[in-house]
Amino acid sequence: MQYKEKIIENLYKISSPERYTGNEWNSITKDWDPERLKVALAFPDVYEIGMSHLGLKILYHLINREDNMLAERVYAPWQDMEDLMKEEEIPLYSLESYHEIKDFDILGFTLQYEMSYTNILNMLDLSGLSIYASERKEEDPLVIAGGSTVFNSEPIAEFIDLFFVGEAEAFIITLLNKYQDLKAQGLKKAEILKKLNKMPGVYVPSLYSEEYGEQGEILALNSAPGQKDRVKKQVVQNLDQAFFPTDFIVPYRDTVHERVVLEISRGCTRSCRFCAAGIAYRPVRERSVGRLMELAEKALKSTGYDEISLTSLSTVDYTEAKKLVQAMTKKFSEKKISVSLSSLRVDKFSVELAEEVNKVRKTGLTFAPEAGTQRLRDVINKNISEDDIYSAARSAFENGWSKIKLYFMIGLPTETMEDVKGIAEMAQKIRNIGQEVRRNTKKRMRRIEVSVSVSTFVPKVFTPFQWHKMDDVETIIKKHDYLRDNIKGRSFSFSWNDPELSRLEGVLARGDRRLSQVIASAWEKGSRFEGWHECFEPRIWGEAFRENDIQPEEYLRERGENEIFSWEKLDIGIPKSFLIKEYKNAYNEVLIDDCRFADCHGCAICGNFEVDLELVGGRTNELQD
Amino acid sequence: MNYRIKFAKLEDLMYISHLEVIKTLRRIIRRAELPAAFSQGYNPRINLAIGPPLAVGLISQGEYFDLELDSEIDPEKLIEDLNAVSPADLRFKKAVKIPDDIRSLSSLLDTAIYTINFEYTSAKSLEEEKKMLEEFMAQSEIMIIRHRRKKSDRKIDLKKRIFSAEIIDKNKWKFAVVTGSRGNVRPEELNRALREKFSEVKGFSPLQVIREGVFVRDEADFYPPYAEKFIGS
Repeated sequence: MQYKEKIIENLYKISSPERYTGNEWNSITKDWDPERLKVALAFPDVYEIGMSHLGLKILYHLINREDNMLAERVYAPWQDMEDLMKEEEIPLYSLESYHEIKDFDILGFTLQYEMSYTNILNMLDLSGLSIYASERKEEDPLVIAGGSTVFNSEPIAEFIDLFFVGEAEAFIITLLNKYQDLKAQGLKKAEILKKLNKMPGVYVPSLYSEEYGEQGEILALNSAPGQKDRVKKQVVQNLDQAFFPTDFIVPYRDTVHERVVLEISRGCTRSCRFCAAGIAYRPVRERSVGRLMELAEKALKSTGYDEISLTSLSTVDYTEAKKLVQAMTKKFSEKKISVSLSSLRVDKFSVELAEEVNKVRKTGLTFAPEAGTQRLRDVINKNISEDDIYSAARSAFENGWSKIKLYFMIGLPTETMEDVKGIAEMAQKIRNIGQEVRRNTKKRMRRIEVSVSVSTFVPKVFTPFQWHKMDDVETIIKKHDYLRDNIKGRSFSFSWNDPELSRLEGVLARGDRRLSQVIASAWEKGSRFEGWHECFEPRIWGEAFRENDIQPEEYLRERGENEIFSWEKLDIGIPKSFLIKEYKNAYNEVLIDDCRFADCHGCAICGNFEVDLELVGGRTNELQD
Repeated sequence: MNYRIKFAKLEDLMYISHLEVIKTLRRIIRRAELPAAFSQGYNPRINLAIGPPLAVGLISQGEYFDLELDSEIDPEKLIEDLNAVSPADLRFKKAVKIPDDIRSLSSLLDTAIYTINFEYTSAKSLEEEKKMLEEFMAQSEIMIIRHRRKKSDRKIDLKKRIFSAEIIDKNKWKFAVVTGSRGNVRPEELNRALREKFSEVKGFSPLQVIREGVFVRDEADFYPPYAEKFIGS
């Protein structure tokens, strides 16, 4: 059913109605031909967040390119819209055709962060679907999910029919076609799922189970007869030739990234030991300068944006970073189009690169030293020195930046109060450098501002720190108090995460299937949008844990070397032995360098997946002179 | 080279705000690859000046903006180019070349004309409606409480803000009201004021309203902002 008129008639009652109307430039509304497979692409957060997600943009255009398929979008309604929908009996609907979600064959969720899981349940419910996969009917849409938290999707395993593990763009069309074939043959959903689970990257959670011991420990992970033991993640080979859209949808509403977003490379082999993406998206694959220039030109023409953002896990590590940035600024500056970079490293080269793109507008510059002392930076294998940091800061100030933002984490393995103290000292020293530069310059310079943002480290699956015990709330608060007291004054601002929220993220990040009940309880009690600080209610979650007899601390404790982990149903191509070796290296403060430019450390991804590093500039870059 | 351009914002875009319309216009101009002139300064932008804001939730047949181009282009071609890269419900209707020293849209435009489809709990004849209007407008004042976002409520007199009112067809009322820097009247307020007087008038829905456009009031007539008398040499 379509509800367009009822929706339009009522939207004036709520805030930000343009979140719910669609009709943006470049959105694609195909005919609802009965032969077409209908896919609703769902993002479990509000429109302006979801619209900025690159993965969904890729899938949207990829699916709509196929003649026998169509894809439409749906985002999580904010509370006022949810109330309106309930009052007016409007089910969740897609932004393109205003069809209710039940009319689709497939509902696909993007998993970006743990704090959006209750929104998934809410969206299922607003669609008129049961939240539990086992209770959904034969004619209901197949509910699938993928994205960055798919690597530990166990806490939501009860809600989802099928996960896709890894990079979907090389494989999603084959999967959708297969589904359509099986459905056309008249097979039942359970049969279809069994057959789909035989395909690479496909993980049907109902075909797998966990066995628990008396202490609640996991004794075994089981798969249904005839099904693979472990699900291997999928990786795109030859990123340069892989599909990348240029006709991006242009939102009316202000969204997080209102610009052409170009993914210049995927993967990072810097081997920071806390980083989930650094393991999950290996190996490094780069797009060529020529291809990126072509994509940029097409996308600018198609969208009318006045900014290009070059994104990757570490932009300056792109082997032809300087060449690319120069080519872009040369080609587009005449049209008053600016280029921006994400994820700068803390070094002089990054500042030079930022200077290159930012010749006029000097806003803020962000660095992430991550830890306050050299010892702890060595533990996490951050591979930057005190000198790197201070000379990068000095060169940023000398180039006219007056605002510097610093990112740190607390709660990293082996951390003591000395390391926390180091954060405050580094912030002060950088402020002092800034003030010195400002005193001695002849140019006009704004007042120096250093903002320090501290997040609580959450151990993530498939990283060397997946065994680490997370800080308890009292310890986190103690560290926050110290930093608040010592990062004070006009030139500083200090921000931190809600400790309770970090703890919940910690539980879900290394959770298992038993947490599905807890998430369901929290949702029933009204929890939504936990990622939005003002919406998070720790009390609700406390009750949800208690009612289901689950101790959250169990998920935060130090894990044993021989423990079986819930997420080991998946194979991300990197053996546990490598992660253990790296965990030990952390305690021994042993550094390893980047395999792009030095020796292989045996993470085994290339061999396991028959892929290679794809470096357009060869195995050196400007960093290695 | 300056152009004054008329456009319509229709149903699919009715919930797009004034600022979002401006942003969208800039992107359309870029997509059309027009020789737009840019502002000076650190953050160069396409030089564009728009008329008084159209409230979120309203459809309009006649809004205006001024655009500066670096080179001359045939006005009809300009409209064609803009429409080719614009969402279906944002339509460019007419462009007129204007002199540099013309009065700005915000200083000229002072009137908005709305047609509102009123519905009643029991059917009314055209004659009855005309009587209602007569009675409504015969009041010495039409006081209403204006609810303002993040500000306290305020009492205002609609009477002073309505320039003219007539019934053009069954259920179709047409109001010319003040807009721009000298105040404004919201269609929802017209509905509310009428309802206070005649309880049989049904509640407001944005789909009942069409802004016919914004105009310049001169004596008893209303003119578009590129009428000969404003362009004149």
